[in-house]
Amino acid sequence: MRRRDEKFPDNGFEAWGGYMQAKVAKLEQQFASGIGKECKQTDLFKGISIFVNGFTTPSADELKDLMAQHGGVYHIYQRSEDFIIASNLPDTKVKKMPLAKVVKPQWIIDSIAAQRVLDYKEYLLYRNSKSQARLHFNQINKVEDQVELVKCEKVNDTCPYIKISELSNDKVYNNENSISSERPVKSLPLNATSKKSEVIAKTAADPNFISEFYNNSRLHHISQLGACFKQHVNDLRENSNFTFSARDDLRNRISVLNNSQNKLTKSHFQNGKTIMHIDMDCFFVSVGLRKRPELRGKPIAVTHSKGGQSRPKRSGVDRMTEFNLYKQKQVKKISKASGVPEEDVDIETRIDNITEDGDQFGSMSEIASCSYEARAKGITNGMFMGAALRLCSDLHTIPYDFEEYKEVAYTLYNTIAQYTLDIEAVSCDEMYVDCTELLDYLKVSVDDFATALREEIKSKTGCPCSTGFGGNRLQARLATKQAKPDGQFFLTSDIINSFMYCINLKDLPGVGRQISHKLESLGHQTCGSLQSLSLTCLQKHLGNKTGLQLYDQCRGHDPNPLVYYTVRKSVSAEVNYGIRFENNEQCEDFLKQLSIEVQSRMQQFKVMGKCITLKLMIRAEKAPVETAKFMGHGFCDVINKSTTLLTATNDVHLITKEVISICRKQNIDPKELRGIGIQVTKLESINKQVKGSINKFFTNKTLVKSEKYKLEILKPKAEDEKRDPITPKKPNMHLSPVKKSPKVENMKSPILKRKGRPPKNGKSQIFTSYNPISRFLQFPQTISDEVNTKKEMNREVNKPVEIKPTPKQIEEEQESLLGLPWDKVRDLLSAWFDSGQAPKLCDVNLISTYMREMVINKKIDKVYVLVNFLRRRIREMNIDIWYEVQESVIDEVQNAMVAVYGKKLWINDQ
Amino acid sequence: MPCQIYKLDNVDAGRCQNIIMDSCLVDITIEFLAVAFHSILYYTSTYPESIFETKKKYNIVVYRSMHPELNQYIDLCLKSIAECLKSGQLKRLEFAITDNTYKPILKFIFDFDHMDVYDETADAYLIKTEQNLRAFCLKLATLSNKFTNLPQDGSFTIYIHTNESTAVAMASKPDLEDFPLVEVDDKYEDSDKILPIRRFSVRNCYIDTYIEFAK
Repeated sequence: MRRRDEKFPDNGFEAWGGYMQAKVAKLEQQFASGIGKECKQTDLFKGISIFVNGFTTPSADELKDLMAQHGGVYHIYQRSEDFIIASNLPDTKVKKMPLAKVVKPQWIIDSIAAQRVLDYKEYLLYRNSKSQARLHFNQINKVEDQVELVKCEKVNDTCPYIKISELSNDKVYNNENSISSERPVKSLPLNATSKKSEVIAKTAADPNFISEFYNNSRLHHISQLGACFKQHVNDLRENSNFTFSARDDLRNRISVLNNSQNKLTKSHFQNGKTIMHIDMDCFFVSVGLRKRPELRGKPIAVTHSKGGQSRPKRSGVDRMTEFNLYKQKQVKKISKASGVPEEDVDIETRIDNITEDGDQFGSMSEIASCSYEARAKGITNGMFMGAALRLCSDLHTIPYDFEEYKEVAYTLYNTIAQYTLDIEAVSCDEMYVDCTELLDYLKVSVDDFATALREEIKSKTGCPCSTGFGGNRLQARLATKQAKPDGQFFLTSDIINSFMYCINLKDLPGVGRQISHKLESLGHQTCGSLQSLSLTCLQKHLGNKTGLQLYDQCRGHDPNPLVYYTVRKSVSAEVNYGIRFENNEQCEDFLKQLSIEVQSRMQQFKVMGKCITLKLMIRAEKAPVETAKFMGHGFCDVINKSTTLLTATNDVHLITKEVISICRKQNIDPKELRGIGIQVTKLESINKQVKGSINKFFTNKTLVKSEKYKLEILKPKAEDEKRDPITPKKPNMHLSPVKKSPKVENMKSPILKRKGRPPKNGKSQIFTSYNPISRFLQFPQTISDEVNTKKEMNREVNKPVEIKPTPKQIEEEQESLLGLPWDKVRDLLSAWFDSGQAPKLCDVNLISTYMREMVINKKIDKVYVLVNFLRRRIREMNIDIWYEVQESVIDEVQNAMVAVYGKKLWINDQ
Repeated sequence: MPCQIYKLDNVDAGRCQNIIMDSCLVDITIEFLAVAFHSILYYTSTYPESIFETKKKYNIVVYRSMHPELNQYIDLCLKSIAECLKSGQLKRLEFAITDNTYKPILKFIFDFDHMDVYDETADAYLIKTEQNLRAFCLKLATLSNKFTNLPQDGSFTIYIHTNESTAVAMASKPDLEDFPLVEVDDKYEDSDKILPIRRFSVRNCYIDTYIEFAK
């Protein structure tokens, strides 16, 4: 153009910005004026402009007429915001243009037929384009952005519908709007879509990835909020003098509220304590509804996804394979837990109803919270969007709004903190409060107190909440469950037993899928039936700790008191979204960034750590390369490797160095990495945190310098103080022996010790650690061992005691026959009978003695054979004197029998 | 409530010699007892012949009940017996065929006795043991003609002779909790005749088997 301008310096079109601009403008003008002549029917395509490229049916002219009739704009020259209408494009054109908005002409026809603008994505000519919005990084400079913003606002005004569908396209991170409210530049410029689509998907290799990720990760925000409020409670307690002036206010309000009602109905809770559990009702939803009153009463879900729109299918996605892998893993776990063979385990997972990627119900965006209307249709928190849409097609989705959540949560906490600081923060919308002292002070009934408190919270935050009261935290929590939505419930000591009886085991905190499966396999589904099991039985099936916990829980007991001060045990940062590295450099760069993130968090919490753990998620061998969830981690193997440093650190270089060296040792193909996390444990606080007035004194008055000095002196002390109670870890070889406290060794109970790994220390220790009973039990054994060595004596000693009546006879016996086996004796008897001589007394005695000895040695089966043999032969001989022999022998045998067995040998008389 | 009955041999408790059995031996013994129990039930016709199937064990044909509840009862009993054997405190086992008032008519006694002199290397492959166990089964079959005059509506009871500490220890085992032992209060001592079956050894342990007949 410029060249031409040089050649033709003056062509008369300068005023219109050059010839082409003039031409385009004129054509548009002609089009606009032409509309008047045609009968304009609708404003269907208002704000939509098209550009027809190549041959189409209907033809370009017809389309032009249609657009004119329905309020759209037809461009003869393409503009960036145009939809390109084409039926067939040659390769060269395809390569040149972004394909995100190349639509089949049928879109126009169908939209007119349907009397509404249909989703153009159904009509995309090329569906494999990367039309999904990415996390976009603030690389465009501000000036440009602002210009764009002006433009796009205009566009947005004119075409509200398209804007919405654009948003819907933005499947994963559509909450950018809300997060970056202070940065208007990000309000999704419509015409930037085509630009974006040209950009390859940003991955963790991008330098700005981490901050972008953490700005959008809901899990990060939620956990961050939880930690934040724990800290908030800590701070409040530290800075408070524990006088609550607002209490009187509250009392007045309650007395006004309930003048007529009987104030003296006192509820009695177990243990004389009153624990309140307060929980906002579907927190994210109700906060979101504050700004969207028009959505009240409709099924609503808070999620990243907009749902309902299908997206072009990504190649290489094999959801079925991946889901099966998940399922197998789950089944394996459960069958291991419950002892049911794997083939028999039939589980419902949340991936069950998810269809293939690209389908209408294929969204794998998780629902963080959903309204009660949605719950009524079977939607639950944590469900995938695809499955939820199947259940409820008119599900409305609203985006996250973390700033709002924070605001509401602060209001909630501060409201409670006006009255008491006996608060245990659980998460941003949930806490336990020990109201015992407060209620004593107020002298009002729990019922009134709850009503007043809930009203106050509702008026301040605009969100409903539910409260449950009980004698301990478990009861309070279960009561809240009963109270929901927007209610209150009191689990007083008189109803606790019957209440617990019907509680489903699944509803108990700490009972997840595996435990509940295991309990089901034992035939228990409710707390009531579980109460029939004994403690030992539960412990046998579930382990000592879980068994005891469940034993208590199913009876409504909870020995754990509220924890007002929370101590941080680890600091970590993990990213398992968008991790796609090309090479090791990118991976190490990322580790560096993640280390910085960890370090900044450690600084935030004022801690240093000793143990650094690197968690790597690596694509499982069988899992498809392209994950089911866009840029998700898919099915992975997880590796955890850690190193322990000599001293605690929060130095970013040290952490980076350690982490990279661990990572290198694993020798993993960076392409296979799907998630990386760094965790620092064994924390020590940077400044020695003494609670109470001394701490306040220091923090207020001492100079920075002196504090530092102090820190160095006090550090080792702080270490010792901290470590023992918090982390009883297995003795680590790296630790110097001095630091191992000998106490731990002594405290281990001998029973526990026996159950676990055998102690490595010498034998003497085992002996001392055994309790007296086990030693006692060992005693007989050791004796018998000793006795074994002197076997001859043993026989002499033992036998006479067993056979009380005949100790003397044994000594008197003649030894001639005794050594012989019984069949030899039978031969002998045979010979004796055959000899034809009269039996001699000594022979008879010999036989009798032998038989008796046999009985004494309990060889009665042989005696029985011999006796029967004897009797048969004598009967055959039929000589009287032999009958006498028989009688005398049998007498001897029976005597011995009676002596040894107390009974006679059964001798058949026939 | 299914239960087992045990007898306390208080006389022996003090000096009762531990019969040390390794877990392998316990398994063998328990397996043998299972075979024996089923066979006894078959040969004494306590249950109809139709609930038994034939199985091959120790290289001979043995009879095994197919009745699930009966089998479960026997299995539970064997579990307790195994526990008892492991503690080395099982002196005697009685498998009593009773009439409908649970009065024993026939008692199959299994006495366990520790071998004082035992050569560890002997019978390393348990060939002798298998032969012994087979011999018992065959012997039992030959004795079946003695099991006459048994009542039609008979039942059976299993008695364990052990000492009190073992009984208490077993009672507190979570495994066996739902199948407790019941102590015999009055001892039926009205049998007067003994019919030996066989005495044999399983490694370092003698098992003495005989039948006691009621009067």
